Amino acid sequence: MTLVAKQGIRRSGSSDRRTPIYTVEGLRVHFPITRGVMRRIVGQVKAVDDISFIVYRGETLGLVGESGCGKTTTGRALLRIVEPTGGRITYTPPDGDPINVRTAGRDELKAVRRAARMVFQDPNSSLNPRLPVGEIIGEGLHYHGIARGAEIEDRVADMLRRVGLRPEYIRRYPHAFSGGERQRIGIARALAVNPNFVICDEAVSALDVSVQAQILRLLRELKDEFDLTYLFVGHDLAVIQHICDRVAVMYAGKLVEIGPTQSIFATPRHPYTEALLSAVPRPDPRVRGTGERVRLAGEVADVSNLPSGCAFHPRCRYATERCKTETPQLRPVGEQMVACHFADSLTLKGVGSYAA
Amino acid sequence: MIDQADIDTPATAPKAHAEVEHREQYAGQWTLIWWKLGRNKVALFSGAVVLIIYLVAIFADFLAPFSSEHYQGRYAYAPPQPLSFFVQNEEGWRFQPHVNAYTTDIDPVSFRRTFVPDPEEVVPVRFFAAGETYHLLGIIPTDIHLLGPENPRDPMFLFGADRLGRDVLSRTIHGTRVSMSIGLIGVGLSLVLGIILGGLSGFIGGAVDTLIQRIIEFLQSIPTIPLWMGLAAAIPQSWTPLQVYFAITVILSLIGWTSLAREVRGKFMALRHEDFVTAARLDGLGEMVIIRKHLVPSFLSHIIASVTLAIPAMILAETALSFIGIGLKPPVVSWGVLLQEAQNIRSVATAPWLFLPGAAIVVSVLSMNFLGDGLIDAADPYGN
Amino acid sequence: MTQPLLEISGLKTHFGVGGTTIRAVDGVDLVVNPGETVCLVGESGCGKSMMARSILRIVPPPGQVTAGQINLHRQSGKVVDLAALDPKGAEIRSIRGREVAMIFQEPMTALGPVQTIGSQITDAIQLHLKVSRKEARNQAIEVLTRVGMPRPEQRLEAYPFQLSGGMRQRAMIALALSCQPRLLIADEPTTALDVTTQAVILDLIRDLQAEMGMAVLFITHDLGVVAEIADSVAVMYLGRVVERAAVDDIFHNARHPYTRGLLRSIPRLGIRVGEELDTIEGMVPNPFNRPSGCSFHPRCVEMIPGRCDRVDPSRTRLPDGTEVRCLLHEPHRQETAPAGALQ
Repeated sequence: MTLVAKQGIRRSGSSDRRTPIYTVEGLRVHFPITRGVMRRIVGQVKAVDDISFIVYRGETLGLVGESGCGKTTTGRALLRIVEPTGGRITYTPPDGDPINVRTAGRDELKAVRRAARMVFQDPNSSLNPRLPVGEIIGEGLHYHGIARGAEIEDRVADMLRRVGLRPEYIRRYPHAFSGGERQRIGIARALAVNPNFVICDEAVSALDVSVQAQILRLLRELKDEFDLTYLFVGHDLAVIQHICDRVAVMYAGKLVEIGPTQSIFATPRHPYTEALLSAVPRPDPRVRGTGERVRLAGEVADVSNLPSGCAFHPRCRYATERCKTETPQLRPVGEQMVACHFADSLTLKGVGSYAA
Repeated sequence: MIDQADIDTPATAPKAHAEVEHREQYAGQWTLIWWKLGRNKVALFSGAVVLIIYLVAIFADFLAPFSSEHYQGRYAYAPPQPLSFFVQNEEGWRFQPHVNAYTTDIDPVSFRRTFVPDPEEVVPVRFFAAGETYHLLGIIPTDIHLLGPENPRDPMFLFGADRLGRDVLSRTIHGTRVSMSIGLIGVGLSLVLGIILGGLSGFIGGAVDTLIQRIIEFLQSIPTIPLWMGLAAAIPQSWTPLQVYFAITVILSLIGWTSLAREVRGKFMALRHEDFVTAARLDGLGEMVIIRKHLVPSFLSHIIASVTLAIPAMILAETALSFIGIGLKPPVVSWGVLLQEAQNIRSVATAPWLFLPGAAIVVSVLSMNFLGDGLIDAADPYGN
Repeated sequence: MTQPLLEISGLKTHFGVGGTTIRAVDGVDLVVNPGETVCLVGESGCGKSMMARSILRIVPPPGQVTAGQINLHRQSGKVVDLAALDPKGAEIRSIRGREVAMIFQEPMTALGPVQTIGSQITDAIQLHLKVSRKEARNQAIEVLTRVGMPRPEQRLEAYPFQLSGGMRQRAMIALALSCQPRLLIADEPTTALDVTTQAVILDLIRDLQAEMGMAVLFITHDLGVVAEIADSVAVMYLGRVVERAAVDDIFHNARHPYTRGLLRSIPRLGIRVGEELDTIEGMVPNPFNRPSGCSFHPRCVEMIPGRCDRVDPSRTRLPDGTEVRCLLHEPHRQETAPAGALQ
């Protein structure tokens, strides 16, 4: 709990920001690697390995990393879409006792899944093409026992209006909509049951640039309107910076850095964060070639066969002998929490150093 | 959310530009499949043929001029007679459906009877003729047949006659019943087995999946003909034709379910991890509701298409079994049984019309296959 | 100015589907000079990929190049109109892979799964260059080394599925570069990659280009990538190039409202948290249902009612060389000049 407490104290902001809504402690999601007819376990894929963080009420926490880093699995574990193999997940409702999500029974889990919702990456696969929009959005209302019959239809129509679609669309099927509109439908489904926490799993990654901006704006408006808390899982750092109050950076199933967006982007403390920021293309030809760009050699660490010590050490240009043997723990450095032995001594480049 | 219902549209609402309503926007899965199938003329035509064949099976008693047992020994091996609608006399043409009777000759050397249609002797036939009594659809007693000779004792053999002087046309029509229904019932049984076992396999996974898959592999590795022969030989001779019929159906579906089970399993596996299934789970749906509401509708059209393609295989299997004499046996009439009776050199040489039931098989199998192919193409209207 | 390598004018690629025609590429003009990187940028469905495929005449049926010219200045000095060639003929085949090579978003679609990387590259080399098997193998090792593939001799024996995403992309680039093409068409080659890998691949393409002097036609939807790599840029919208300019002009002096809208709607690193993005309202129209007049007018903030919804803008060349299709930049076409008199 100490780690969690520290994160809370370090957050400078309004007091309600400090009320945790989701608390994750030592979360592990390991998948066994089996071999042979007897399904002998020969190893573990450590998709998520001992990560802890808190999502505070009213904030947007970004979870960022490259493919295979475990960010999506983390998001899914929070709703037990994948079963965690270790650790503790606590959901704290605004009025009521905290629920231990990992041990929650059927009814408790249902309550959590009503309060905490998910917007999926691909609006094509997350909407059943065989159901009309009204049924897709109204499903949660019906099965969570919030509304019945004609009342469902009214609320669905209302949701459609709120996400910027016409209520007349209620009887149309998903194939009648464009990608951006489908994502609006996905958002309407998530918000229909009046949740207070939404996990946006790469919610804008599959969209075109112009539509992406529309959806980002919609998400922000809805956040204020419905008093929501977001966990925004993504890989596009520019989008993350745009929408998140705090950012958590993951690498190979571990949290390597977490802190307020401004400070992480301006003064990253972990070499991986630095490399990630450095790799983002800048949409301005005039800054081309300015500043030294960090390029990572080699491949993302294989989570079924992690390197010893710090998982990032084979690609890190600051790595020493110590990094090969000793696994760094997440610890507070300045406003951030960083898992790097040399977080205090390294001077890493943030975004400010590239801005024109 | 409803209590704070100030309903103004957010600023990000897409600009409402001239909306064109399309019927596609409101079309559900089955409507889309139907439209897509409608563009495939071959499949549509084949579908009509299949429908007709099943109607023939249902109304066989009415459509066939005679019962399957009706025989006139003196017309053994009589060749087909063409049906004409008009007779010519001194007043000109008159509408009178008829066939021409035969004159018979006996070959003095071989003592074989040969039939020659006699253009002089007209056998008047009529529509809705009274003939043998039967129960229409098994309930309504009647003696009306679509077509029959005015005098039931007159010869009318549109497809010719077999060695006992039975009408091949009537027997082919009656055979439709058994042949087509054995496909349907056999596939129905396979489908039940396939969906239950394939569904369990795909949904539970793990050891259950492994076990069922190994059973399927084992069943598929057994050579079918010897297996059928073994099983068919085990059917007691004392069983009634109806019992034999069901036994044969069960034997056929015992093999048939495996491929359907595999398909169902594959669909389950693929769909289980679709985002929309996860979303449904988060919406609070139980697993059974998810299966009913999301999974089954997603693969049902594919299964229907596979079933359409499985039926002809069943029909052919029944034909094959009956043809080699271990399937259905007379007095049951099926296309396979009819062909078995044509199994001698004499029919090849002198009575080729005995193979007409074979044509019925070809037509029905082909049209089923074309329809099935069309359905497979149309089964997923959301591609592209 | 040097002679251009590739000159495309009035290119149309249409798809006939059930009685209706989708105009995927609808009158595109484009010039690629030797050694230059031209970025073709646009949102999904704008026709940029079909445009690229049209050049090599690998448009999937029922698509067809229906009009226009694709003039390629061949190494021999001869000018060929690729649009007039038989897509299965010998001449286009001698150009594909040899003078104009292409890389794709998904390397697994371009690399054969059952052949080793080495045999695919040596086959390509032997197809176009008259060299021995051994020589081809040496060249394959060389090109793999050049794309930064570690331990190239061993990788020759690897199958595509044994490589990671980034390495596969390198292998595909190696395959494309094996015959030292003069033009490389890159269709979203980094879209499926992580940003760190993308950065490395972009560096690689840039370095190889400098080293080999080839021209690159780079197709992408990502304006960040454009800014990193382009010399000149063509912005596509609904099958047309709406603006064509030097990269700096696109980012700092964009003329077409669509280009400006796109630039304003991309989130940039370095902006303050919570800063609003501008958006382009609405969405890309259905290609079956193209708006009248300028096809961008329903979404355009600078739309002139009564004109933009009626008049289809023609290509206007501005004094600084930018070409734009927008009535705002047309010098009073209806008053002064008959339609078509402008270049």
